[in-house]
Amino acid sequence: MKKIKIKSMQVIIPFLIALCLFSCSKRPDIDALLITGQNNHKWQGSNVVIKSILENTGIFKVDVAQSPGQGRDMSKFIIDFSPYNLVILDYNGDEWPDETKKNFVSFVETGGGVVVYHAANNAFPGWKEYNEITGLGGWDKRDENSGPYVYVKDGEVVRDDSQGRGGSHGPQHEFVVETFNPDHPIMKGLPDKWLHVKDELYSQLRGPGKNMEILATAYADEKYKGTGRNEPILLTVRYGQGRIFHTVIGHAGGKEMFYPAMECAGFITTLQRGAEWAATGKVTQKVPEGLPTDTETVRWEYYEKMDMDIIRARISDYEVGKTNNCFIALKDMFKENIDDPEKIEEYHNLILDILQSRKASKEGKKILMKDFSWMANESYIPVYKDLSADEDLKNEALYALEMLD
Amino acid sequence: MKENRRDFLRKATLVAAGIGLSPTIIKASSLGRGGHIAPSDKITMILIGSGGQGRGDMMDFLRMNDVRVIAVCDVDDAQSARAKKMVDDTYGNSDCRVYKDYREILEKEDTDTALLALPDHWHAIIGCAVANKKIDIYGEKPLARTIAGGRAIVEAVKKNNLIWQMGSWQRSQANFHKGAELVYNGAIGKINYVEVGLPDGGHYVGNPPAMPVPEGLDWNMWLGPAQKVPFRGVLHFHWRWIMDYSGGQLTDWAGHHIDIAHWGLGLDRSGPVQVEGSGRSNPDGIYNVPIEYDFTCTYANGIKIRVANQSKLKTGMGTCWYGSDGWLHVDRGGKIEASNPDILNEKIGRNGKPLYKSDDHSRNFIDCVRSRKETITPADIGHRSISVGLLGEIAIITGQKLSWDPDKEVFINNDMANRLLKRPYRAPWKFPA
Repeated sequence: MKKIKIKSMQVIIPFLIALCLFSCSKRPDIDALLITGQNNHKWQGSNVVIKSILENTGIFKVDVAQSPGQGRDMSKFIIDFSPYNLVILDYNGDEWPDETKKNFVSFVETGGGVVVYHAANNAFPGWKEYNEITGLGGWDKRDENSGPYVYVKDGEVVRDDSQGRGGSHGPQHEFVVETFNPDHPIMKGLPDKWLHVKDELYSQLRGPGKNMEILATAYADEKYKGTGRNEPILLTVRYGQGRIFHTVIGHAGGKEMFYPAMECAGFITTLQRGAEWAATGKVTQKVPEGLPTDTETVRWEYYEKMDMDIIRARISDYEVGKTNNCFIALKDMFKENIDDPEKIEEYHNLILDILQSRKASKEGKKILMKDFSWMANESYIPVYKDLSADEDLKNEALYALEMLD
Repeated sequence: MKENRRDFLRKATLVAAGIGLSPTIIKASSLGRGGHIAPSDKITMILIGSGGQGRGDMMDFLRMNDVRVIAVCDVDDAQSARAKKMVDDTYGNSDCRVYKDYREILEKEDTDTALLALPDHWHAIIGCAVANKKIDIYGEKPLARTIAGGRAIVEAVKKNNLIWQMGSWQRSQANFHKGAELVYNGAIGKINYVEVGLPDGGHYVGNPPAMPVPEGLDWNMWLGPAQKVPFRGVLHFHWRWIMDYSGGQLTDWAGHHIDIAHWGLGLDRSGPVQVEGSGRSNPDGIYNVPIEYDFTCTYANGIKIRVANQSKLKTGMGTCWYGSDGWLHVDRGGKIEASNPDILNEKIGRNGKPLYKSDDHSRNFIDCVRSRKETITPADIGHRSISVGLLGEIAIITGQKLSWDPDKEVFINNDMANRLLKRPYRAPWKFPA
């Protein structure tokens, strides 16, 4: 009797967890649009990372608008922002068509939220409203005509009208991000100081800086060709009814293959909180555990802390266009624990559960059959056989079955 | 007709040998380059896979007076039209025939040779099909997508007694030849370690949406034995970043710098006994090959070859052998350097063992088609070169230290890793018998 009970529990528990994950996760209520397609950074990677960082919270649904390539005809890049609560700018390139510009300004004026990410503050130096929305910018011939330098000195915000270029940074290095406005909803509960992963420290940013609040700064050390002052790292701007969250960190390099600065737990957490605030004026997310301290960086290499439940949820929801991190994390766990039969069995059970779940996405199942069948055992055979009856999954199921031959 | 042409080629060899040429150097001029030869004496050639690489390779053969390209084949009409235009412009006519299905070109054309420049996932099927038609092959590297696929090609070439030239053209470059020959002859002493640097990363495409298949492209045939997926604009050249079709830079370049490493070690007909390493693939987008990779193969004689993307190595790209008396590094752009410049001035002495010499990779193939002698990079050598890349790929996938039996070509006591020696084919395609 006892035996049966345990056996049935083993079957039920994964289903309970799966059910909970599905029923507990509300429909995301912030509709966001990420604009990308041209940048002096690796926008092809960063847009996917930002999308997954935000969607991992469960409160955002992020669409991506990709512009034509640099120098191409932009006239058809017309965007209607009205279906969205939030626009994320990961764009630094050719001018948008007038209609898109007009729509964007009116979106913000009437209360739309905006996230300005890294080099988006380099874009459109001549577009007045855009610069008022971003608050500060750099490069692309920005100078004293763009507005004052804004930074913090001796605990005070300095607006410095002196002449000179806007925008600079020394070699990438780790630097401490220090809270300047601890009472702002985005900053509440975050460490006062946290060491950021090696990144560009944007300095000498200048712009209109109107209706702007600095949330956090970093000291630009002269050792790294810095300005010797506390440069704004996180800031907010109000424009009309709109709220703007501006993060200058999270460099995704043109030649690099991975983006350590975007893996920083501090970057991820402030982006998630800042985006929610910009969209709603509130921050409902809990501060996660394990954030960096003033001496230790923390990298979340999958852009979130992975555990079995998260992996289960992400694979079950997987569609082409989301990150592959849930699969990569599961593969890494297999490799790390290859000599631990208990853990390996746990992973097999997870895969088998998802394969048999009616609710799990077909795209997720396809990858489980393509990339994980080499490590499968006999218990997979009936599952693969069942799936081979599904027209959409047939090829992958036959692939997996042949792998076991 | 075909038998007669082949007989003629064999006779031509005897003539060439009779006038005292070195057995491994057949001077092109003696075989008619620049001379006047009757059309019937020409080596006929077809091209299967007429993308950028195929057309580039074909250009070399179009320049040869004793070769005649007669037909081209591609699943993409736009690509075959470009290739036909090149052929017709060269010959001043419009005779070049065009096919879309390799089975049809093999059925209808009587040819001496075939130039194959296909995505890797097609190599085993088409390579074996062409070989079984008794057609000599110039095949683009890597030999195949899998170790089992490469073995199938090697056996088909052997069974049909064919000439195969692998497109590992670095062997026909002076610096690579000189470097390998010096190392092979002990110029830096006893070798214990080799570093092979291959290109970093890959390209980014993100997540392009499914889109209509371009007119004139048979997408299902392009996919062939690979899984059916919607068309997302990934086609010529960029298929290389998707595991279903290729292993990325690693398997693209294994046929170059690993091939050269093996050559200098005299290990180009063997393989390692152990492999272990790691890699990372990009978490974003549909490109999923390892873009960072670093693995080490150990050979039965204790020599280790480390293969990594160039940023991980001090020496960067190329092949660098380390011996008891110094190091020697070769790379593209004619590069050849050594720990001591005197090493590079060494001559292979009377008792030296010269390595096969070719100054022109394409010409070497045609010369060997006539002479029936082995090319500078026959199929089995190409197989051993790509096998190292593919073993590294399997080590990365499994994350395990793997023991390899290079004779039987199986992993020892590892059934799971052995599954990865082959990729299952989508019906109706079958792994070549």
